[in-house]
Amino acid sequence: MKGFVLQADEQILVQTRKHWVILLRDLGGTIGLGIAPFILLGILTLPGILPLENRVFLHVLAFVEITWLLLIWLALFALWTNYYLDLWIVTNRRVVNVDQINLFRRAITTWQFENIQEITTETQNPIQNFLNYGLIDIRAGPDKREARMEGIPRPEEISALMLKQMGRYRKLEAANKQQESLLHTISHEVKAHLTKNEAALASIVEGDYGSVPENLKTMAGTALSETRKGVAMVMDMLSSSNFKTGAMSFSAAQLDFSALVRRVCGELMGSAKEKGLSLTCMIAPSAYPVCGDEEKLREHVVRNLVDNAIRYTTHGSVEVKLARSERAIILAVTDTGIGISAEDLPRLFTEGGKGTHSSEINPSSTGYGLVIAKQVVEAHGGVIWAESEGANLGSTFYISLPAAESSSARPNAV
Amino acid sequence: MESGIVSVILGVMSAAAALVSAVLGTILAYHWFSFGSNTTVSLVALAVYTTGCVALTIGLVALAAAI
Repeated sequence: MKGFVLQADEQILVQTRKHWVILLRDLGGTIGLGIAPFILLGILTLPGILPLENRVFLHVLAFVEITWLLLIWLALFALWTNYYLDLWIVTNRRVVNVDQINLFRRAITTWQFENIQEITTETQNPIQNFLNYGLIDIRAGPDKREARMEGIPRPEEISALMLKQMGRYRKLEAANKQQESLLHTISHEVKAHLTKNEAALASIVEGDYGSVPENLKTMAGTALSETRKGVAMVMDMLSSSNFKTGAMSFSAAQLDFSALVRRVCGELMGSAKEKGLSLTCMIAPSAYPVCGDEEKLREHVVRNLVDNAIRYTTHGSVEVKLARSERAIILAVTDTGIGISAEDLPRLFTEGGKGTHSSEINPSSTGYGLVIAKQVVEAHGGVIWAESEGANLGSTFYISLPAAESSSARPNAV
Repeated sequence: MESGIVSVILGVMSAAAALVSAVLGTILAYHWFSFGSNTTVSLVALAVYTTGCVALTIGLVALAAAI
């Protein structure tokens, strides 16, 4: 159905139209209106008011009556269409009200179960009680926005089903919070241990304990490199967790975004060369002032994108282009790497949302990098998106940030 | 003469009624087939609607011609 698409893992629990008595009421009224002129005509005929002996008059009268019937016929179908296209759908995730408002307006309203705060049902008279239909009120969102659905069949049964789903959501939400809190604590602990290890291994490698046998030094170097990967992974998880809990803060200063891009490209040039890739950095001549947190933009956004492009490209090139429009600064990182399939694109910027084949190339990827990049970019009032022709056809990641002159926006503390 | 003018007026009105029915029918059919969830229901509705409209319009034309 147009305008309503089931999400992944979403199932329809109930799909209903308004009670048939609502249709009967509307059609009955219109049919009554259609019959009324005939009754009136019958009444007027009795006292001989109408000149029924006039043939032309009789024909015109019949013509008017048939035209009236045609209009009623059209109205009946318009009413039925409105009834037929009004739908109320309860899925395992949300409640959807599809409302056909006359023939040219169609409104689709959705309430996610996690936002619904209150559901009430009401049957207003004995007829509604007898025929088992009534209205359902939903209050949702922080402002307890109210929505009312009238003429819903089996309102008690449907509201019980929705309350059950709400209960499940509340439980899942609580479990999620507990898990996140646990993950945060564990990450902190692991990070503490890993950084101690990192320091100890670095001391061995750098010769702080005097000269050590070469094979021990090599082993310590490998261990140090792995430990650093572990620290980076845990830091990613902690950053993501901090974004969710609102514990992430940003500094706000005017910075030259082109210098930041040049620096990252310079630092990653070695990694690209090691893989036999050409890394080019093209910056159109212009000023690139951005108001924001330099470190987070550099490490979580630009470095992340360029590093990913190098990581997921086995041969060819990586191009970093910086350009600006009147109000925005646009960075594009294009690679000739593994590309992104159409199925993977929508979940790229979600937690753990890695490409289907990305783990084959980068097994240590946590899937948090792009989520964090998105959160940082959005906190700066920007947008991030990716485009790809498909698997093995390369990809381009874009970020657009508001230029500082045209925007006084500072990064939002999240 | 008088009945001739009336006949022409009714003929024009019949054509207008047929046009309105066809336009509304197209809008309704678009809704049924685009937003409806069942093609059979949409086909039956279209058949019933068209039959009613055609029968009533033929009645109008016949009356306009009979004057």
